[in-house]
Amino acid sequence: MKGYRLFAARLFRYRWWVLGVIVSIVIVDLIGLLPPKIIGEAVDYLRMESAERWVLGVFAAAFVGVEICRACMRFTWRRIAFDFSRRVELDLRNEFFEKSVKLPPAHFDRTTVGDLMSRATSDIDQVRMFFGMGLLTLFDTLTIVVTTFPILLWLNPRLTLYTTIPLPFLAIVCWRIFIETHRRSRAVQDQFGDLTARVIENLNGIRVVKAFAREDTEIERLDELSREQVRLSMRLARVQAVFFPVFTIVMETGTLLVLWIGGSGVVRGSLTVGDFIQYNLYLAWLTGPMVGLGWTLSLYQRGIASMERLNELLLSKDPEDGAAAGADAVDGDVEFRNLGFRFSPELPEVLHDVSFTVPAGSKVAIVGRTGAGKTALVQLLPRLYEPPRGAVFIAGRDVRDIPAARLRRLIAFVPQDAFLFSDTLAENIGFAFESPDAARVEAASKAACLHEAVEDFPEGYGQIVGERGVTLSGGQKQRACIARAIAADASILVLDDAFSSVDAETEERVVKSIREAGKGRTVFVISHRLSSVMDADRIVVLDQGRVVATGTHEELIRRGGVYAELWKKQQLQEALK
Amino acid sequence: MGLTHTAFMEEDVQKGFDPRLARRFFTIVWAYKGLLFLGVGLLMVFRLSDIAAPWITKTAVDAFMNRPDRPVEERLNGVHWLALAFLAIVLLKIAANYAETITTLLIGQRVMHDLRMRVFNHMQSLSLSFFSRNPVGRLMTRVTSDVSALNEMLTSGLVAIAGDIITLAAAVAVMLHYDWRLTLVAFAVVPVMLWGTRIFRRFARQIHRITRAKVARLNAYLSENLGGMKVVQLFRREAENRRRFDEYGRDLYRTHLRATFYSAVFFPFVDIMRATAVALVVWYGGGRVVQDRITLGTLIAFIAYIELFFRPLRELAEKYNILQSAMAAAEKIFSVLDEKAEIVDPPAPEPLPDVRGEVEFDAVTFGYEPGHDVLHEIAFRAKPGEMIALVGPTGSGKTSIVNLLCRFYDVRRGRVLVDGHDVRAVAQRELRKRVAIVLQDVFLFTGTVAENIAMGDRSMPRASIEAAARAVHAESFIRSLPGGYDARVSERGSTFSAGQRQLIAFARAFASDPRIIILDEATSNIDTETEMLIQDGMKRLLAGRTSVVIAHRLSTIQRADRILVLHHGRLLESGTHAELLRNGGMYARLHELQFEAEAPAPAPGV
Repeated sequence: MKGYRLFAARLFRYRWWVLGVIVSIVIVDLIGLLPPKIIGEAVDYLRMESAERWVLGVFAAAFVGVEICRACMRFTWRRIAFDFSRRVELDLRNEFFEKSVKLPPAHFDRTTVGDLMSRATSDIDQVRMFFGMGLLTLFDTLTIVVTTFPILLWLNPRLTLYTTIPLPFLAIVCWRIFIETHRRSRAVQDQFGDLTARVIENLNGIRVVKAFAREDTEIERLDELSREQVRLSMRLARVQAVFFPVFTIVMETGTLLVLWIGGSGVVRGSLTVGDFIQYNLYLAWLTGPMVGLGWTLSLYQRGIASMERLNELLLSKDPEDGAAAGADAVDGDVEFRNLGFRFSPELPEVLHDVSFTVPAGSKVAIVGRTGAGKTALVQLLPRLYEPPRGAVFIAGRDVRDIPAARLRRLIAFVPQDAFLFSDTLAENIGFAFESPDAARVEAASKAACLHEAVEDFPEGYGQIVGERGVTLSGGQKQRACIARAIAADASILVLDDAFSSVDAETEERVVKSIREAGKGRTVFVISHRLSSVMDADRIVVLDQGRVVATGTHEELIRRGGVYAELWKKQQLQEALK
Repeated sequence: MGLTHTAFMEEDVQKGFDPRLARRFFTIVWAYKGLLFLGVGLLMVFRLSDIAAPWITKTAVDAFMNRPDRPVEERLNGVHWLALAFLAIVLLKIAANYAETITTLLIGQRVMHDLRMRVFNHMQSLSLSFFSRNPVGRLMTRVTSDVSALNEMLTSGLVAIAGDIITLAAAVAVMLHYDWRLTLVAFAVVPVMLWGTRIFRRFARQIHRITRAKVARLNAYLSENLGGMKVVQLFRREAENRRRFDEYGRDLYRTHLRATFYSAVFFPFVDIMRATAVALVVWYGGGRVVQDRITLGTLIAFIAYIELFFRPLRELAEKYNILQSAMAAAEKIFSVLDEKAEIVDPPAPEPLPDVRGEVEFDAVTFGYEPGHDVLHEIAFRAKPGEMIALVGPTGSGKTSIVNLLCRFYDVRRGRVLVDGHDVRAVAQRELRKRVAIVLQDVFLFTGTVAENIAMGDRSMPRASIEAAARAVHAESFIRSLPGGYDARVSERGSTFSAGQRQLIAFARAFASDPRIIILDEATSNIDTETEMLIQDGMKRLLAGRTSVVIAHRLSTIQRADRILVLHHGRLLESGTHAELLRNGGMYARLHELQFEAEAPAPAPGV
């Protein structure tokens, strides 16, 4: 898509704002034509023999009056223009968020949060800059050129010809300088990111650094990066430093020509001193916008690049959702039918021909080594990844036919990584609700054996957790995630290795309370600690993506094999911890 | 419920001018006094040539243009000569400006590099206790953005202010020289102007701080949502979180508008002040021209000088903010530099030649915080080549023993001895060269696999690296990587499995060829094949070396020459597996439990 079209739609959406910006700029610039005229006339008046002080006072008052008008209009103009650009920013950001929450979860495995964040911050900033200062300067330049140029011509055609020739070049040169500056400063920033990452790595690994007496190597490595930062910064400095000289050369060449030609004109009598002064002031006024024009061009270019990056997300198609909107509650047996699954077409299958049924209200445990496909299997249930059609059913309905929102209301999921938001505990536990009620939060927290720990916090459930609050231990975090799932009160509960940082005793208590609290719920549990899966109605043993055995604990122990071995080994280990 | 605002404000501290900090900063800058003098000289040339331009126009008007009494030829000539002079000044100005910009930025970059390395260098010498007190994010800021803030102060702040002072002083001097009365009249607005600037500065600073906090809040919320999108979607919070995000966004939008209001008021205010000054000059100066007290050229020059005078005042508030942030940054940086290392080498360290590998804890008592001991009177001795297994529940003091042996911390009472030398009497580096540590959570550095094994020792030959990897069974998996030993390790080695990281850590320890090895056995679940490799790799790594192992696996414990059973920081039992079983203490009870589990099977290795 052509660049300007990207912006055209947006510009049209804000047409009244744009109009406001244009009108206010034109007014400001028209008023701006007056002061040089007043000064020029005043100077010429001074040269008359009959000059009187009170007339000068009138000139001065007129000058101030005009400037006050202009200042007031400038205020309006800034307000409108900045308000407009901030509105564009706000809308873009909201569109960005809106789109992000619709992305399939798999998308977040492919992109980093950092990449998305840089789009949401610096790319949106670039677009805002174009809509704000960019458009403003563009209209400003146009108005000033359209109005000032005729005045200059009228004052002295020949002089105008000479003095305005360099101006378009100034715009072009400035544009190139801005683009180059931007390119080089990106390089500086990227490298600064590397440097920061290096420091963070060092600080995180400081124990190892010290244990291996590696301090000198670390200092050497940072020194290299820091020197490179100096080199890149100076590379940027060289182009930045060119800007002012270029600007000055063009501007002062104009002044020089005015002095030379205009000065001669005054001497010869073809120009008055007042005209000379006026000319100087108008010319100076024309130079600024030329720089601005160059800047606008660079903003436009960068804005386009950013808008394209943003559109990759904003114009992406929403993932298809289960269309069948049957109002009936889908609740019942969960069935996997000859399920084969791969994360993406080019990757090998991680699940092969998995078939088993979980009757509603029963507890099924999935065990197996790391990488056996346990997590992949349960993630298909709430469609975190899309299973193939005709493979995963709830109450006889293909999950692909159930709208995601409805499906996920049925399933409370405790993911492997205990992710909490930097918010209060109450908000986190009641995450499934817009405003959680205290009783529900507390009940869920008790069921997850978290309540006692919460009572020790100075602000109880109002305690903010995460980066900006208290730091929870790994076990507390996991229990908070379990409480969050319990509070959601769904008919299917999935615990994906949810106890890895919880000690055995607490795990047992939580498992027990879930069993009591969740009567009638279908429970999927993945755990490395077999003691908490032994009471399951059925245990499914996965190995390399295949179901190798199913049965109750007793059956599997009796039969021997993978499960029985795992069981023995763990009994020993547990005893020694 | 929102997030607390105060939490975001920690980083945005401002501080008034502190001469002590400034002096200290200046001593660092002084290292570049040559460049500094050059920069200041160029700055003077640049700024003074700025002042010269209006003077030329004035002369042109007074001496030639406005002198109908002189012959036209002479007047034309004069104008042309002045135009040439003007050209020369412009060229001088451009050259001086370019050179000055480059010089200033160069000084800034060099000082920044110096300071960054100085802070980083100092951090490397600090003790672990310092790092446990200060979060990584905060320390990182000291080396990165705080240093940048000081650079900003030097290049955009101090130099610009010095330049502005030169311009202002020169402009005022020239104006006073021509007509002091007119100068006073022209500057009648300055008090109003300064008063306005003061008020604006206060608002600007406040709004700036609020804006930054709100931007931080918005971005934190966004990044958190992006990071936890699975959870958002699983719990169907899309609509609610979108609503909150919009709320934060709108709040920020309103703050931006308030900020715009102040700048939209301030800049026109400065314009009005400038216009008033010009008007005063036209009115009063015009009168004086009429009275022939001053020339027309002088009046024109005055108008130009007023422009020069007001230009820097517009940016004064901004520069003041830069200075204040820089002061706060300087304070934080210097406080790190003033931090004293708690673990220091003795003035005359005892040499540690060929270490045999004898380790002894002599009645060691230790605590991280005063008044709270985590180890009580621990005493044991390991003969060279012996393997000691530490056993005990979490919090029993196993890690503290490891920390003391590496001298990450110092004992409160008692002694830790290596080959009979108190660890406090030898240089830390010498000690740590002979002690290798393998932690449970293996830390890999970005770089290649080979670099990670050599631990940055660039002189280590590739053959030794490969030999080390081979010795601990790491070679086959390393060879299978794309690039083999030169395969890149991404941030924190996230592409390797736990087992593979263990093997690299073994190779790393093996390559450093220590006499003493400290090993915190991994508890994580590792698949059977890798587990076997790890067990055998560990045996090879420990062979012939003294080792202290925080053991989690029965097979490891049983292999130990001595088992130390710790509980609440006290040494409960010690002895071989068989001895401890005979004693019937805690270890024996633990072991009994296993038998229950294992039923009829015989205890392995007994």
